Amino acid sequence: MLTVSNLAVERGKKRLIQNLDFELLQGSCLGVVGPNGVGKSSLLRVLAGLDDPASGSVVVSGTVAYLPQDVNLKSDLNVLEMVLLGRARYLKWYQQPNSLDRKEAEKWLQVMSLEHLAQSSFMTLSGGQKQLVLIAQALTSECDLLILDEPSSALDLQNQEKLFAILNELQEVKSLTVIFSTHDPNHAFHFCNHLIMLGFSKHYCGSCQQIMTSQLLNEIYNVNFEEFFWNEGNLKYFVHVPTSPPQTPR
Amino acid sequence: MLKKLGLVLLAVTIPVLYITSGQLNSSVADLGKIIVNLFHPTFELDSIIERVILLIRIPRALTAMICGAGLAACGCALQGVFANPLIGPQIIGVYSGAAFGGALGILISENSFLTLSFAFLFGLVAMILVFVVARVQGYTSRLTLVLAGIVSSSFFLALVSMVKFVADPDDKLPAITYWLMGSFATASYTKIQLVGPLILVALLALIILGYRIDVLNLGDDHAKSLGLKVERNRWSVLGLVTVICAGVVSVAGVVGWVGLVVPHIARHFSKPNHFSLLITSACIGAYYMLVIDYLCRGLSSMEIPLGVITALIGAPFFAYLLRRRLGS
Repeated sequence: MLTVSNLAVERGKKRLIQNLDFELLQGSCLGVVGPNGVGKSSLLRVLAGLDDPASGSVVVSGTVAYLPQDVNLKSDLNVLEMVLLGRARYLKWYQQPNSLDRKEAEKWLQVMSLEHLAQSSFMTLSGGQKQLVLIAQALTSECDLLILDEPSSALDLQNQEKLFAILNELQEVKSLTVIFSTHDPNHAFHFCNHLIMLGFSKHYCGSCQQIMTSQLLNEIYNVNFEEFFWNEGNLKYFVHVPTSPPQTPR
Repeated sequence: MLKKLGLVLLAVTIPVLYITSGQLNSSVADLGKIIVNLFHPTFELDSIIERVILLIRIPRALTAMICGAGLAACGCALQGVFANPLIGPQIIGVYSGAAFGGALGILISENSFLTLSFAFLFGLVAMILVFVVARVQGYTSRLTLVLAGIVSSSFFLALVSMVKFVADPDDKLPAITYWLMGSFATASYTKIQLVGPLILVALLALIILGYRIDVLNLGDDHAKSLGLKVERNRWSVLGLVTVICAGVVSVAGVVGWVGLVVPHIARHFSKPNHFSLLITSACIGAYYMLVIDYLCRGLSSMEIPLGVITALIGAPFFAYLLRRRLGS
């Protein structure tokens, strides 16, 4: 599905990531974690083909859709029209979306349980709804690989749960391959089977279960993470515990 | 239903009013007779009225409508592509190039078709200049495009000043100045035949590209990630806009404000997608221009230049629309 070999990523003239190699199979999910400015967004943009790599290669079999961090785009279109733009890839320059395209768009709106919003203006939606609409748009473009840049950063907890539940479902139903970056190690840990941890000096890449440990998190974020176990030790969570807790005046 | 009927009535009344009234007054009946005569000569008519209506007013009305529709659609398409409601056809520099071409044509010859072709040609040259300046390493950003438009605009405006400076102040300078202020007074069937099809075909293509303009409106990265070839599509839209603008300037001189204002009016009546928006803009633009030209002819005994009226009406109206939009 996706083969990355000897990849280097730069922002401006600054080298951010070097010697990155990994392979992703169809239907798998890759999480990217790391502190601000380490190059998560730059890496995702290169993987999505929006920017060129400084060196190395990214080979994708299939189509890629990319959702930027800031989904607050201004558009007067209604939700259905917005989702229909996902068909751009399949329409010749003189063609307008027809009823089949419309059906495809409506199908994905339904999957995302957004059909009641089809005629609402995109601008009037909440951040979470906008994100779901844009995912529906990406799916309407029949993408095989969906790349999301910090999809949960603008969402409240309920919408975060909903988003990841939907992504999970899509992986099963459509065997969609998903790559996303996040600041919450638990999202990466519970939803991904592969992980890239980016630090300023080095990166770790591999199976999520293996490399997601509190030691590594502490190393790359330079804060204190503790592991907590839930449900008779079956579920592991990472909790940020500050070593010097803020002093509250009493 | 009533609203639609009203619109149809308005759509018929405005052109009829435009064609029948003026310095030489005629009645609606005269117009009817002339139209019947075209197919089957039945009525005896005052030959002056017939000639004025057939050879002056009808081609002038057609030119005004074609130009209005074209400019409004250009403005709408540009505002969509740049995702910026403050952009009009002037901003991309084609206008100034065409203005220079026209001025140069008047300077070096009396032939109005040379003026027309020079205006058209230099409109295209201005766009090529924008293309060369704005494209860096095979990629054009919206910002560099606007900046390149300003560069090209300033460059050609300086050339226009140069032409005015060297022009004979008794003869050529007034001609150039009046031409630059814009007018449909010299409209003729020959000019319509030359430029009309170009503008109409470009307009049609622009409407067809409406869906792609919607995609471009999302921003370059987003459009690219939806599989759209951003560069190619954006330059196609700009190319069509260039053809329309150069065509309009070559027959009517510099007509500002229409492309900026009309899309904002259209947004109140149309669905927000650019396919509908472009059609609505073109229709409203056609009538808007007709009304404006009617005012140019009718407000005083001397004809007022088109550019003056479009700005006098356009600017305050635009301010009103902006305030209303910001308020809501």
